[in-house]
Amino acid sequence: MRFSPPIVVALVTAASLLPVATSARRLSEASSHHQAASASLALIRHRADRVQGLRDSRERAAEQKRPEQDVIARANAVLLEAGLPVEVLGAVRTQSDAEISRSSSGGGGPTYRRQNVQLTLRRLTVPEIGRFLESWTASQRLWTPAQITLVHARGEDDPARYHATILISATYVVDR
Amino acid sequence: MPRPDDSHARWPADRFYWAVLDGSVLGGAPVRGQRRRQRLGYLFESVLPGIPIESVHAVYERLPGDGERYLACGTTQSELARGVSPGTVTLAPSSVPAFVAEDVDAGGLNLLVGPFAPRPVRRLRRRQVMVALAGVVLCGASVTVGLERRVSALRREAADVAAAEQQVYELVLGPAAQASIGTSFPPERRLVAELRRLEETRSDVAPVQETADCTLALAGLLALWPSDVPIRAESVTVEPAAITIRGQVVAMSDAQRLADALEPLDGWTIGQPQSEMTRGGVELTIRLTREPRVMAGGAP
Repeated sequence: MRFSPPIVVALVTAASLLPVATSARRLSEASSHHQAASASLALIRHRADRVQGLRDSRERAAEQKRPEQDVIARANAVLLEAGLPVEVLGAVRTQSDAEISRSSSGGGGPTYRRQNVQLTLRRLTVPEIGRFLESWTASQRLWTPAQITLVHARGEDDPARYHATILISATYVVDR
Repeated sequence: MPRPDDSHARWPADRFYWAVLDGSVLGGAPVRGQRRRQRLGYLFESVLPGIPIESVHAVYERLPGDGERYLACGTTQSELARGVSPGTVTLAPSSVPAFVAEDVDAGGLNLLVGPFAPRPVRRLRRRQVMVALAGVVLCGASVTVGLERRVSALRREAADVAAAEQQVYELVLGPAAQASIGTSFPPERRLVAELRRLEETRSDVAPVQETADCTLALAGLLALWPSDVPIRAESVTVEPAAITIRGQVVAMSDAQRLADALEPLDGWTIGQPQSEMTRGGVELTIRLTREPRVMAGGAP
């Protein structure tokens, strides 16, 4: 079979251009993939920086509601840290748990609730109450003492002892 | 070995068939190349003296001026085969007939073209085509190699980007990032979930109004508490907006001394002490309220 020169030229040219076209297509795909990967990396780095920054900041709300047992454990830990016997913890009662009204934000975002728990510490001196509160505010940043009532412990031998009722308040995110 | 003159042969005009053809009678769209030669050949045949066009080899030269006129110049193929020596490269008439009024270069009417092209010319053309094709192949190969190298470089960079991505995941999420690859909860989703969790619990823009901490107010109150006033405090209540002290003092003047001692409490305004004389002494109530500017700006 004998081909005319124009056909041979066309065939050879086509045969030469075919790999060029194939490589150009592969290059286009590789370029798109690379661009997508670079954009993805930039987004991930931005998110990672944000995560690191937030981890360094103070926790403002708990991830979920804390049960009373958790609060008791925290109170006992703080009592020990303050050098006080755990027996002084008289009661732990949940007072309220209500959704926080969000006037400043729009309709989006998570829902927050605030739970209030009342701790009662019995027969402590004022310095002991001070030590407890100091340890509490240092280690339990989520739980803010929102109300403190000191009532003189009547009938005790030591007239300088008080029953301390502390209302602690914490914000948490409602499960989505 | 032909002489130099033999390579460019010139035959007298009377050894050729001549005609001036009117190409406009062909009509239709203008055609080029082989088809044009074929159509002009049919016109030329009409003036040939009983010789079929198939046995004639002719060339056609467009004449200058208006109209589509061609000068046809041909001879029989047998005459060409017989009269042209092997080393001849071009064959042209030495002159054009007198009936051709236009100025035509007779040397430009080379009849050794097409099937009668000399072997050296055909070889040269073939070589030129081969060189051109080699150039095309070489260029194609070079471009392909260049493109493939770029593809490889981009893929290497993409692999580096993927490795960097993995490093970021491990830095932020720890070893769990590696273990979660290919699972239903891959690292990218873990990172988004972690970011969302932190934004909800730690973000400055979280719409959570912080609860006023009463510890500082109590500490400030106790720091100002006078040690030289005989007072028996029955209760002290510290709330975000108010502090209430109830107790018992010996004399009315002690109530005022206590109030005076607590007055410097920063951010709080002390009210008039309420006291009542009883059998055991003086029952006392002192109330402090938080100043509005402190309430608006947040609790200290």
